[in-house]
This record gives sequence, C-alpha cells and structure tokens, in this order.
Amino acid sequence: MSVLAKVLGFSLALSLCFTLVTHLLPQVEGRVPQEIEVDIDALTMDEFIALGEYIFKRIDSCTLCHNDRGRAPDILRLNMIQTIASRLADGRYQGKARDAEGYIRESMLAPSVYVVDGYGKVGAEHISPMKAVDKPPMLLSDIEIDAVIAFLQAKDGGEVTVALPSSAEDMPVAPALPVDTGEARKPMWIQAPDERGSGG
Amino acid sequence: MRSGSSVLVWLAAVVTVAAFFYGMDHLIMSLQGLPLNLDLSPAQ
Amino acid sequence: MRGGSRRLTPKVSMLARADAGRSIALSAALIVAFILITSLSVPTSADRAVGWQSVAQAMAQTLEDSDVNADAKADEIITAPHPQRGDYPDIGISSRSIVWVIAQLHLNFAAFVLAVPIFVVLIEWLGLKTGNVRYDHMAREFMKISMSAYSITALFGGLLTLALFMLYPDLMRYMMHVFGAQMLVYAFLFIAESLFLYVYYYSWDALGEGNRKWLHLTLGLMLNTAGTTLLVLANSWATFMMAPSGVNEVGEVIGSIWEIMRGPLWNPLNLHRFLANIAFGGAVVGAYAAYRFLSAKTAEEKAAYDWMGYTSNFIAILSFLPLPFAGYWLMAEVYAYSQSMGITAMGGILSWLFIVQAVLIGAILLAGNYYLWSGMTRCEGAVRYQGFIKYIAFVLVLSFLVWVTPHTLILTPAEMKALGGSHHQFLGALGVMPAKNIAVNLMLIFTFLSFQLYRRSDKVAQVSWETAGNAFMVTIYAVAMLNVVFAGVYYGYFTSTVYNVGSSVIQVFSTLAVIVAGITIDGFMYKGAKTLPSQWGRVSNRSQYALFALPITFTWLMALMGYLRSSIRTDWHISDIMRDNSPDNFIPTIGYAGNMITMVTVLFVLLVLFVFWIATRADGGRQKANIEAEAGKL
Repeated sequence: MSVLAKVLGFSLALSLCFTLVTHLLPQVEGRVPQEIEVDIDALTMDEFIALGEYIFKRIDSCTLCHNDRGRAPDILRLNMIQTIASRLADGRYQGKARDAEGYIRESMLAPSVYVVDGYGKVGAEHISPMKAVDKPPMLLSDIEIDAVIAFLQAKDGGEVTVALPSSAEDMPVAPALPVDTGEARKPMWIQAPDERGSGG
Repeated sequence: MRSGSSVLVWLAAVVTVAAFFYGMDHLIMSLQGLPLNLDLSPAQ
Repeated sequence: MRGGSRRLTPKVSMLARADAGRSIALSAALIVAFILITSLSVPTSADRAVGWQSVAQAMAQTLEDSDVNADAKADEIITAPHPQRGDYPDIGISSRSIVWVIAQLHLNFAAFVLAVPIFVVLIEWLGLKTGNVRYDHMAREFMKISMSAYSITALFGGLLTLALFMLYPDLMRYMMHVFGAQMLVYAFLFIAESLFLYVYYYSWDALGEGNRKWLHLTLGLMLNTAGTTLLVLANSWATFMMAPSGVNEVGEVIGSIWEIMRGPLWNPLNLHRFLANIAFGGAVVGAYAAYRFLSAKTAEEKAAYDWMGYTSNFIAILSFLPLPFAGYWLMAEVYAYSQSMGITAMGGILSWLFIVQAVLIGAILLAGNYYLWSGMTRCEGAVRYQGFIKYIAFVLVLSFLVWVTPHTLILTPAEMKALGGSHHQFLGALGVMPAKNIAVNLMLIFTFLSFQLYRRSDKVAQVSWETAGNAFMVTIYAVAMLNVVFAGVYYGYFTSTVYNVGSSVIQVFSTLAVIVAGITIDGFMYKGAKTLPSQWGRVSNRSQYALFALPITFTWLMALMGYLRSSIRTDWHISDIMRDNSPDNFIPTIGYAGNMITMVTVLFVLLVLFVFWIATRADGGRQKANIEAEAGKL
C-alpha cells in the first residue's frame, strides 16, 4: 500500500475514533426556550405557579447555578420560608425588602444588595456573580418574574402574595428586547482599577 | 567515605528541595490571599 | 546530537559581526517605522473613533438592502440590530454549517502560516549562530511548505468573508460599524504580510551571507510582526462577540477602538492562540517530515527527514506544554466576565465536551511520548534509560484514565436505580476538578521526563558534580509529584472552594519547577559531555505515525474548542447585546459536532497533503543536493 493510502487511512481512522467518542456521550441539544402562548385572563394560580416552576427549572435558567454543586444557594432544597426569614433577620442585610415577596424580587432584580456568605465573586465577596434577571441574558418579563416568585413562595407551603396577571397590564410573556429609550446606559465592560492586570 | 558522602548529598538534596517547595507553597497561597498555617492547613 | 558542520571562516565571521551592528540599527529602524505606521492607523481616542466610524458607516451603507437603521444619518446613534428569523438569508443549507466549515479551515491554515515563520526565523538565527548550514536548509524547507499553504489560507479567508456577509448581513454590518477602520488595518496588513512573505522567501539566497543575512532575519521578524498583528486583530472580533466592551447595553459604541478591542478575553485568547498556533504549526511540519521519511528512497533522505521530524515534534510539544495554563486563564476570565457563561461551558450543557478534550490531549501526550521513546533506538546510550519507559507509560495511562473519568455517569434509569444515583461512590471523586488537575500536571511532568531522558541518551556527563546534580534532579521530581498530589487531594477535597482553586497554582508551579530545573541542571551538567554514537534515520516507521497523530489530534482539538467558543454564547450573536434569531440558534449535539469536526479534519488533511505535494515538486533538485551534501554529517 502506498504511503499516501496508509497516511489517509490512519488519519481517517483516528478522526473516526474521536467521532465515536462524541457519539457515546449523552446527546443534548441546547434549544432556545420557545415562546409559550398563555391566555392571561384564564390563568389559575396553580397554572401560574407551574409556569414559575417551568421558568426556574429551564435548562439555561436559574438551576444552572442554583443547584447542589455549591455555586449558589440550592433553592430547590432549601425551605424558602425559613431561609428568607433568617436572611431578613441577618445583621448584614441592608436591603429594602420587608417580606418574602420583596426579598425574592430584590434578589432577582438587584442580587448584589445582599450576598449570602461564601457566594460572592472571588476577590469581591460583596458582589454577586448573578446578573439581574430582567437584563440579558435572562431578560425575564414582569409576568415571568411574578410567576417565579409565586413558585418559590408556594413550593414550601408558603402563602403566595403575588397577584395573578391581568391582560389590562398589556405585558407580553415573551422576553422583551432591550429598547433604546435614549437614557444613559451602562457600559458593557470596563476594566475596574483593582482588576488591572487581568484580561489585558 | 564515598557512600557516606553520597548519603549526605542525597540528604542535602531532600532537605533543600523540600524546603524550597514548602516555601513556594506558602508564597503562592499567600499571594492569592489564602494564607496557610505552618502545617500547610488553611489559616482562614 | 549534532555531527559535523560547515563553520564560517574567521574572516567572514568578523565581517558579519562588524556589519551586524549596522544591520541591527537598520532592523530596529524598520521595526519602529512599521509599529508607528500601524499604530497611527488605529485611533486611540473617542474623537478620532467617531471620524473613522463615519468612514466605516459609509462603507456599511453600501452593503445595505433593508435595515432598521436605514434612515440613520452618519452622526446618529446606532444600536445593535435585532433581526427576526425571516431577516436571515435562507439558501436552503444551514448557514451555520457553511460558515463553520469555511471558518474552521481558514483558522487551521491561518494558524499554520502564522506559526511557521515564528520558528523558521528562530531556526534560521540558530543556523547563523552555530554556523551549521543544516538549520538554514531546514528553515527554508519549512518556509516552502508555509508558502504553498498561504494561498489556500487566503482563499478560505475570502470565502469566509463572502459567507459571513451573505448569510449574516445584519451581524456583519453591526460588526463593521463597531470596528470600523480596524478592519481596514486588517486588510492593509494582509498586503504587508504577503509582501514580507514573498520577499523573505525569495531573497533567501540573495541575502544569504554576512551583513545581508541579518537583513533577511529582519524581514522574517517583520513578517512575524505582521502575522501576529493579524492574529490579535482577528481575535478581537471573536472576543467582542463573547464579551463585548466599549459598547453599552444596547450596543451603542461608547468607547474608542482600543477599548472595543481590549475586552477581558482578548489577551487570554491572544496568548492561547499564539502558543497553540506554534504547537499546531510544529505538528503539521512534523507530518511533512514523517511523510517524506516514509517515502524516502535513500538512507541520507531518511536521516534528514528523521531529524526534521524530531525538531518539529520538539517545537510542537514544547509550545504545547504551557497551553493548559493559557486555557485556564481564558476560562477564568470567562467566569469572571459571566458566571453563567462559564458554567454553561464547564458545568452545564457543554461539560461533556471536556471529556472529549481529555481524550484528545491524552492522545497528544501519548503520541508525543511514544515518539520520544521510539527515538531512543537512534542511540546505543539510550539502553540505560529504557527501563524507565514502562513506569512513565503506566503513569501517563493512569492519569489519562483519571482525566477521562466523568463525574456524572452515563446510565440508564435502571442502572441509576441500582447504583443509587448518577455518581459512583468511589470513581465519582475522580470526576471533579482536583483529580483532573493532579492528572494533567503529572502527565506534563512525566512527558518532560521522557524528553529529558531522550536528550540525555546520547551523552555521558563529564562534570565532577554529576552525582549531586542527579540527586537534586531526582529529588525535585519526587517532591514536585508529591506536592502536586498533596495540593490536589488535600485542598481539593478537604478544604473550601477558594483554597481548592488556589491550590491549582501550586500544582502549576511545581510542574514548572521541574521543567526549569531540568533544563538548567542538564544545561550545566552536560557541558562538554562525551557524545555517544547515534544515527538519524534509525527509527521505526511506526514512530512516524505518532507524527501524523499529532496534527490530526490538534486539528480535531482546535475544531472542538471552536465549537465550544461559539456555543457558550448560546443564542446570542454578541453576548447580551445582539440576539441570534437565525434558524440555527441552538447548540448542536456533541455527536453532530463530532461529525462536522471529522469532516473538516479530513478536508484539512487532504488539502495539507496537497500542499506537501506542491512543496515537494518545487525545488526538489535543491533539496536533494542539500541532503547529499549533508550526508554523513548528521
């Protein structure tokens, strides 16, 4: 067999070995969450809570970090009623929330107001690595945020204090795209003085 | 004695190298803000 | 392992040294001029940025067919566009797969043609320094391969540009708006690159002696400057898409071009690609050498290409060794920029990819080591070290198995029930980062050991302190290994996360300590050493297949990492600013990626073999003459 044939054969065989490895692994496709049609007026509280659970457990959503691997509080395992009460009672808590709904909403929209011990950014423990859920990449709408709050309140038998949405609010369920309103916008990334030397 | 001096050489090597790595461990961890105790356990 | 050489006569040496001073001054002046020209073309203030953007906007306007900003004037604020699914051109085939194949082939060839001149200039300089003309011949032959590949690189670059503008017009229009004149600089640099490339290669004979050789080397340096600048400019587009900077939340440009380019991922990617290119380039020329070795008709040819293969493998493995650390820096910056992006890569949907990466890197290290062990047959003196090989192989294979072990096992529901979960009670511990770090560092240490034993195999030290030197070397290996295992096990499993992560730096430095100590101690210990007889060309044909395995695995690995880089943006063209609403806006399965990657790899192998064939056809007569002249001198 000529050298060319042997080399080509070897190259193909080796490449196919690697391909085989990829086919032996779990095949997961990273699909974008599809828009769901929801009839807001016909929504019951149970359906609203189920919607919140769906949003929370979506593959690229909250459970990416809020799981048992230690990156963020394992919300699904924690008893939210007790947990929230202890957070609000913590001396370090400086936020504006007075109840469970307020605390959850604040945690979603301004995560750095209160960072649970050990979950802050490395080197800047008072800053949360979580991004606000109404901003990219999550871009949850008001209704979706309310749904998640409802789920988190309900999952441990607590009282759901968020109201069901009504079509009078005229808010879409699908994530809203950022709209340029002409207001001053935050820059995407600037090198902080204490970060100089990292990332160029 | 050749074997004696060879043992000494090895001993010197072990002591020096161990001291170097011990010091390096302390230095590297403290530079990252992660101080160690003398027994290399975390000081925090 | 150097045999006889043709040294410069004293008179010529003197002349060369005397003129070197002037040449160095001339070279420095050329370099300064080049840097001034290129840096002045890139605006460094917001004021100049606006001016340049007007130019780019005018250019972009000519590419428009329909756009939300169609009636925007040159001085109005432009934000990132939001194309809907229907706005994407549909040509009946997946646009993503077209761009994937073309981009990957372009990147492979570009990596090759950028990397080769880097080590060619070094080898040419080495030839001048030692007076050994073999280095010069090898450098020239490497350059010839690169030249043949250059036009294919440009072809795929042109195709890529066409594909991107045709299939993703909104994205490209926005990118042109953001980067503006920087893209023009990129285009200009291609002219500079081509100019330096052709002049460097075709003036090899004319600028071959004395003073002019320094000018030739300077041309090589200019070529590398142009090439490296091309690399970092193109890198800024990729890193901007992953971690945009210099723009605000809606994509409006608020910073200078420098701020746009210098995002958090730019320099980590620059370092990573720079090193990886060299490793890849070395691997591909190694395949060329292996191919010529296997096709050789005479013993002299075999010897020449055996030596070339060894040198290529040396370049490839040496530049490969720091890559894990550059990759670690890149991932650390990804995490710092966006925790969710970092977790998508390593803890989420793409985490299985890193098991494939472990397989590939294990294959690279095993192939590299196997080549070194095979090479020991060249020298009788290697017999004293051959006993070590089985221990090195054992550690490499064991470490590889640890690295490949996943945390979550692939089980059916029935198996999961029987096991009581998806983690094995013992092997599960090997699936997490501390175990992987131990495995990688041990693999690198033992690879260096293979290399060090190979280098020693044809020498007998003549220094009086040989015993002490070896005592220190052995102790450094032993303590470094213990340190790596201790840091990994103790801080990895028994302390907090921060100490766990911090301990990986200890492991890295332990590995580096071994490498630095090994090079330093051997450097001094083998000065004036007695050389044992060795024979280039006396190596099995099997070993040459190791030299093929390297570029194939590298190519596959590059494409795999490209799949990762593109996928961690999930359904964003530009993270958090411009959403991807195309029909392909999902992360494909790893099996699909495997198929695409193999297709690209096979295409690349075919094209590279074509390049080798072209390179062999031209100047075949001169190469043969060189080999015959060098016969017996290796």
